[in-house]
Amino acid sequence: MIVPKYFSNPVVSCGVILILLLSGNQCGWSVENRIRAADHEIDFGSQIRPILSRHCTSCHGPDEEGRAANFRIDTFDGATESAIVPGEPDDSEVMERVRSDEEGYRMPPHEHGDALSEEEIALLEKWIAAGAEYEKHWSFVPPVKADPPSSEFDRWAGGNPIDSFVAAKIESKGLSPAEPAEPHRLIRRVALDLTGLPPTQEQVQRYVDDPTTATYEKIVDELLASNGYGEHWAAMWLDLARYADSIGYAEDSDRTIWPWRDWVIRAFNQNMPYDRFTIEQLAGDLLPKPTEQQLLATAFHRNTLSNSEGGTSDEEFRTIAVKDRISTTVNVWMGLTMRCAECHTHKYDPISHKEYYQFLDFFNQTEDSDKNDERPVMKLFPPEKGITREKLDAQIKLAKVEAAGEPKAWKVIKPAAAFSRQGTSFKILDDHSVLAKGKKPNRDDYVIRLEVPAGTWQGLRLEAIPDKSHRNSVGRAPTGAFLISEIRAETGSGDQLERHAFSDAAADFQQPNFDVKNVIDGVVDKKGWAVKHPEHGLKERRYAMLDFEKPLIVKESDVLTVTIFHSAPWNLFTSGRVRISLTTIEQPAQKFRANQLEPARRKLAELEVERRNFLKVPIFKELPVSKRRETYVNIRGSFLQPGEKVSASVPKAFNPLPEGAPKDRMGVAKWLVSPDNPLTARVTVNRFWARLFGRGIVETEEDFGTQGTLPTHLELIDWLAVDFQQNGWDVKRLLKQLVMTSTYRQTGVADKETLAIDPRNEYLSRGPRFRLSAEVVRDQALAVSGLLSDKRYGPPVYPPSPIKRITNAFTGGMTWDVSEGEDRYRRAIYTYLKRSQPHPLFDTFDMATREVCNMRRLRTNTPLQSFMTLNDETFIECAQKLASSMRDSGDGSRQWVKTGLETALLRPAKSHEIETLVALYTDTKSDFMNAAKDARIMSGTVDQTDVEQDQAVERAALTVVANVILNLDSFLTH
Amino acid sequence: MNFLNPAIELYQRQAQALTRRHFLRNCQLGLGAVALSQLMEDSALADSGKGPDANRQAENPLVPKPPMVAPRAKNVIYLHMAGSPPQHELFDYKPTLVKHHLQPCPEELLKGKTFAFIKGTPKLLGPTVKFAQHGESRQWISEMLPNIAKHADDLCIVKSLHTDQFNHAPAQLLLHTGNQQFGGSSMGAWVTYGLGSENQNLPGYMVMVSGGAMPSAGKSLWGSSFLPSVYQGVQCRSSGDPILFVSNPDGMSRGIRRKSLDALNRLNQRELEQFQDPETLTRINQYELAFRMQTAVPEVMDISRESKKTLESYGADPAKGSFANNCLLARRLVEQGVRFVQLFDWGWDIHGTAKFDDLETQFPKKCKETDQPIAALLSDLKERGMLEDTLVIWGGEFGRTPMNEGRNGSKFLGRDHHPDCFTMWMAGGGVKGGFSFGETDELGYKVVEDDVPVRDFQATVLHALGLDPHKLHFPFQGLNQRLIGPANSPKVREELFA
Repeated sequence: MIVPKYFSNPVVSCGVILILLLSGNQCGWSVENRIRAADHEIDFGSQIRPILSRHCTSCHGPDEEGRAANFRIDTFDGATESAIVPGEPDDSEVMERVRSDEEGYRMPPHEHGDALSEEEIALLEKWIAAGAEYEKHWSFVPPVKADPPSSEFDRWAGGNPIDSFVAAKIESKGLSPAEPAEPHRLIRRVALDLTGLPPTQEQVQRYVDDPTTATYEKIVDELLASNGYGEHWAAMWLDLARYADSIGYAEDSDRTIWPWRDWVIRAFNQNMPYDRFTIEQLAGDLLPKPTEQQLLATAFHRNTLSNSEGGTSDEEFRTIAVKDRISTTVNVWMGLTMRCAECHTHKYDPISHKEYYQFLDFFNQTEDSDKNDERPVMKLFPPEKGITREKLDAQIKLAKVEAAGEPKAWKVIKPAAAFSRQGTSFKILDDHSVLAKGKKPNRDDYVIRLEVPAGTWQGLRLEAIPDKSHRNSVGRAPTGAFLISEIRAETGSGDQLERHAFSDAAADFQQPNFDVKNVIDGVVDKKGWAVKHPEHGLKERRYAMLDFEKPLIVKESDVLTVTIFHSAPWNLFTSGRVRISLTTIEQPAQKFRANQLEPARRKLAELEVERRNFLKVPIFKELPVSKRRETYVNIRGSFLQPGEKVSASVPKAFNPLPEGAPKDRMGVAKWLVSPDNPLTARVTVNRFWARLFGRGIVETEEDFGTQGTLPTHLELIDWLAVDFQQNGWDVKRLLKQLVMTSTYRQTGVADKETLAIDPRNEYLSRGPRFRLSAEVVRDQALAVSGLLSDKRYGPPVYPPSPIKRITNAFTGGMTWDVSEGEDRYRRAIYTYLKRSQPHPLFDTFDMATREVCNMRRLRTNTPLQSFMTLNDETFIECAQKLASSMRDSGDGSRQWVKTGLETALLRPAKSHEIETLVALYTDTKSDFMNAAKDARIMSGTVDQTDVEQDQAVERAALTVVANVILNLDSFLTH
Repeated sequence: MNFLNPAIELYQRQAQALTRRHFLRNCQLGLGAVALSQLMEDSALADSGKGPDANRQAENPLVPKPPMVAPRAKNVIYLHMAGSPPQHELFDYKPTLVKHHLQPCPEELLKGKTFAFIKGTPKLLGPTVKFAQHGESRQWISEMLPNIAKHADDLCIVKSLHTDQFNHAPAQLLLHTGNQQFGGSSMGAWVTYGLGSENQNLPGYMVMVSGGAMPSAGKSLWGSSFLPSVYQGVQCRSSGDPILFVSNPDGMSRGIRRKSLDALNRLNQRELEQFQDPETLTRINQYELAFRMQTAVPEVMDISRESKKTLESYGADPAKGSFANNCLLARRLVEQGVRFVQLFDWGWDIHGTAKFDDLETQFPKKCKETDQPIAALLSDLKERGMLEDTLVIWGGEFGRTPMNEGRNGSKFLGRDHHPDCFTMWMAGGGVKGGFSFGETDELGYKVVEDDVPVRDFQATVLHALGLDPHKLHFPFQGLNQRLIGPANSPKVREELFA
């Protein structure tokens, strides 16, 4: 160990060691243990096992194949066979070996790693002298509920067992609990923690006015009952489930699995007990008479990647998916990694190579096999519609009867000819529609000649019909889209043409900003009618109804020329197949809007669209007994090298399958949530703890095995685990229990003394303080600026992203079409998640890619994050919106700035904050006065002619101020 | 901050120097000594009264760290030809294969083999191009690479690489992240994690993509996975912002940005005083770094600053993104001290199913797109005296078969995926120039001499940079994760170094 010269003073060098040990706590080397080692007894779990794990067991551990010299040191029997003589360190070969500096004799060998430190050697010696007792790794022994200890801080703990455990630790470290957090900050903290959203001003005020536990509890209950709660905690679960809206690998095409994401949100909101939550996701299909929702739950494990690249072996990628499922299962529920055992017996934890494949056999019996169509799938209607297939069928039956009795409003007109200006050719089909084919000009005008029979025609209808020659879509663009800029109707011929203007227009569907009225505005321009539906895309028939300004009166017959103009700003946005009808009913557009035009037919058509657009969600389906797969040990992990045949069982080191549990996935699910399972409850409470306190009681949430960190509060995590099980795996109860503690309610302010003893706040002598997660960073900014949509559930959305086009090998990739309207401002959990290219928000703020289960995000602090919150389009929009409400909040820059700070931070603004920002405002304002155009752009008022220049300048300067507020450390931190 | 206890102050400095998590990990790594020496160095700087500059250094986890062993190279430019170029047409010259052109492949070669696309008995396919010997070293190089051939004496050509993956994504993942499945950390992330970077105004690991598509395995090829995300490759884009969000929003001048950051920092400073949270200090410094990057990034990415002669030598055109531009950018980045620069060029998957992926149209097109820029890069690095410190690597993710693929009776010529042997070359960075290593059999079907598994290649690259591939590790999920995988068999191939 290098000790720098300026620390040669013995007192100080002790400090250095202390620092190094603190930092080296990874293997459980807490200072306490080191100090204790000097004159107290030895603790195997915290002191000896880490030494053995780090230096010895990778060659002298459970892995028989990799074992050197046929010697194992991880068990008493193995160690005492030769190298260790209990009670006699001097006769123990292991001591000679670790002390030796002879090449080839010293352990560990040079190429394996450094020699043991003096201190480690001393510990080993003491341990052997004391009898070399082994203990089972702490997390493999089922937890028991210890009595909460008492301490000098009992009053602070107030009888709360969690606080009592924490208090005892605080006391033992010579620390004291911190003051309670300021009321404003506490309510903001608890709201962000429980719902991922800031609290309302009203909630903050209520607690500030009456800062009692009763009021706090009331607010906590409100937060737990709010819809935001489920959306927030589901986001955590999606990381574990490696959820994405695409299949992964090279092609990475779309996957419809968002209904499962909604299932998770609902499960959290309904406070589904964690044991049921487990069973439904792992084995919902094996429940007796599973409901639609229980089947949907099993999509959890269909979030594995699929490889649709040509030339890939389905079996190879099926095997990879199955292996990922067992890695994920064991990691999520038991906090252990099994992946090592795929190729060889685990070097550290008690899972053998064979046991891995025995466990795999449970999961090897589902029907899915990396097929391109993702089968098996379930047909599903989005539950928010509150409709089932049966109901829908019944409704359609009824609607058909009604439609049959309804007089027809429209007469389809047979075209005589169709031609184009730029080269599209046409075929007139039997149903009188006109199909575009052949050459695909970027822009084209379709001219259709129709023989109109006698009548007083009041309106024209254009149907856009999906066709299989256009990928079953309505348009000819690669995406299936079209944009009709203008529709013109003329009678007569040659220079006798008479144009018939339209006075009104309606459509059964139009995209926001692509109003059908654009087609009758008399101008052929880039504006027009487009029909991409958020759920049905471009694969449904659409129609536009146009009212003639004056009726088109035809005495005998006449030629009507309908011209359809396509002049979109994008290439190839031409329509694919169209049909023209006329009506004698007056003002059809108006009547359609009032639902007075063919209401029964319309209803029927809508129901049929709905029935066609059920979702196909990949789920689990167990193979029939006759088709069960045989499972073999894969030699060195290769599916091409089958070894011994194995059958399903759980690793021996843990509890057996519960009595009466079936030997299938259901059995595994029940095994995981059995009271005998030593890990599931611990891992679960630790996960929730970590989200609230910033770090788990076991810091390595993903590793409760011998290589993981030891718990900072062993008795506490065990107490929580048992309590959680005893109280019905009630997640809301657990979270409430945690946020009600005095521990949680402490201030995050640290004094120097506390910092000195507990720099990382491992002993919880102050409140948690850490940067918000990716989702919350975005959602909070939208929320405080007033932009956040509260729309829930449904297909993923596409908020603004600088990555407009995502290319993938072998496929066309995708265009990121930014969502319109409120979908632009939904919570981050609804953002479309493309595996190969997630929205930059996510990877910038530490979300690992969603290829494998990710148990914990490693929090970082990078300039790329600064770029995002400073410059990203959404964050700028938030600043503009906030600036506008700041300016509306009263008179004068002081008031505006104060409002901005208080809206964002939910606490009174401090005078230095106001002064700093008022100065920034004043300074920036004068800059913008000399930059009129910049002021318009910065304030977001370029198109708002009603906003005067003075106001634009003020709002621009306030946008800069708001941008600062939304980047404050105290804003980004919970 | 004025702490009474120097040990605590030391801790605080440390917390500033690296994210806490990172340090905790570091100390476990055998890199502990590195972190420690870094720590001492920072303290020493602070003590020597260098003041804020020293502090600024300390807060960035990308500060240069001393190598673990004597380094031969400081930087890497890795040119990955995604899809995998056919070695039989480029570097692995097989006259025997010419003789057997379009004869059925001997059955014994096919026994027990699976191919991605080849079915039945394929025909052998002689090289479709001519070869000649070049340079004093007389290395065989294809006529398709007339410019690179002029650098024959700089190239260390390894003909005996092999992998065990024959689909693009898993093979790319294995090569770049050490794990054929997703979830590994990329080589560039490992290198910046181990060594930091020389320029604190730019990311330490930068990636550029050309050829019209992302490589099959996507961004995971330059991801950080379990390593802190600060080490992930930052992709520079050829249109829009070169780095996402580097530009101020429209309407905001740099002057206003400066003023707003001053205000922000002032307020954050007060927050720091109240809460004493080292993360706040880090955040203040990251905003400052971001501000500096706003100048540094567009500057370094602006190739129009290069002379006309340089642009012409690369065939670069500032107006449109290309592999040539990326080669020039690679030099500019390395010149600025970026540790690891990686280029992915799509379009090398020469199956021969149609004109867009065959040996007669697509392959010459890809050669033409890359030959001149790569040669220019080597010359440019040499002229600037940078080649000796820069390890340039060229290659694909696997090899291609000596047989014609002939998928569905295709009339176009092409080769299927082949994991058993492939060629890569390196230049600069202390490798032997004018040197060829490893041999394949007379058909170029399997390695017969000096085989180099991809894990040896990874170990060798890390070693060249002064990292010990066996010791560079990171504890995650119960294992000390390493780029080279859990087994100790991967070897540094000393034979490749001068």
